[in-house]
Amino acid sequence: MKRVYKRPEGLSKTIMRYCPGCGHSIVHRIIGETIDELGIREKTIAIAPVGCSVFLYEYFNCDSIQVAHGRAPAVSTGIKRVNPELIVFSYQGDGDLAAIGTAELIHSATRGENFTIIFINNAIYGMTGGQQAPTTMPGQKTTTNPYGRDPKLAGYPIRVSEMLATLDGPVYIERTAVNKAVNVLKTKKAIKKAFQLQVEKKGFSLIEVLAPCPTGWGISPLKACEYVDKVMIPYYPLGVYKDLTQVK
Amino acid sequence: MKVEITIDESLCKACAYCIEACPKKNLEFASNINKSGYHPVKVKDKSKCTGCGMCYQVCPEIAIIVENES
Repeated sequence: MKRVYKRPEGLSKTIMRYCPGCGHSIVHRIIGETIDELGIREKTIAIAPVGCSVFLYEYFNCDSIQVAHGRAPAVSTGIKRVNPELIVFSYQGDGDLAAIGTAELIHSATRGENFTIIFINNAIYGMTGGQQAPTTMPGQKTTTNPYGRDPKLAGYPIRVSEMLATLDGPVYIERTAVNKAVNVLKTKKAIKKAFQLQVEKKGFSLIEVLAPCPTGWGISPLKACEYVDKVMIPYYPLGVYKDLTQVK
Repeated sequence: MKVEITIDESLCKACAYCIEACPKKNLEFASNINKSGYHPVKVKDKSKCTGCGMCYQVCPEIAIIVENES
């Protein structure tokens, strides 16, 4: 048996312009592999957010739309309702999804729209220069919180997966991470399952991925992975938060 | 078992994820500098590579291609 690990066809040949050690490109590759394995490249539409992954349409080898800040779930709903045969996934960061796009997110989840959201949680606004996001950890230093996030002043981080799991609409919600090989493999499994559920028309699915942002956090890539392990995972525990199916 | 590992030096951004992930500790930084200004990763001893693909799994740049025939 021959196993080849190489660039999936779901991704274009364009070189990804992310910082060294960025979690985005790992998740891009996982989605590209999933698209290949399920054979859905010709009918997949990617929804690009505003954020570091705004150029996602250059990296994916499928049709894509770049939408207004936070409005990806609304546009996904529109596409999916007009043409239910398409496979639609929106790819959003924590600023896009948990701050400006909260309303769209919650209502598309509670309506149980049949599309997939890949939510990259890196606890910071990466593209704009490292400001505090809703998911920034208590005590974490950002450019708008030079002394660390003070919950009394700035509130507590939002646990999006737990919040959405209380709704009746979503079918599958899981939180994973991409800070080490074992977690990358689990993320692959989760994303593939979410896409599979969409192909089977089961309903709304969201995969939250804890990703390192070495540049935004101001630490080296390996230290950033350690930070995810030691600080983020205890606050955002990994695991399946909602699963209404028995698909394997 | 035939294993072939290729690293595209021009894509490497020296994040060191693969060096950390390799179970055989068979990867290291090269002394030369690539066109982006990073020391790219190279394989220490190709014959020791087991083709598990862990370096590929963690590489953000998809710079590593592993072919494993068993």
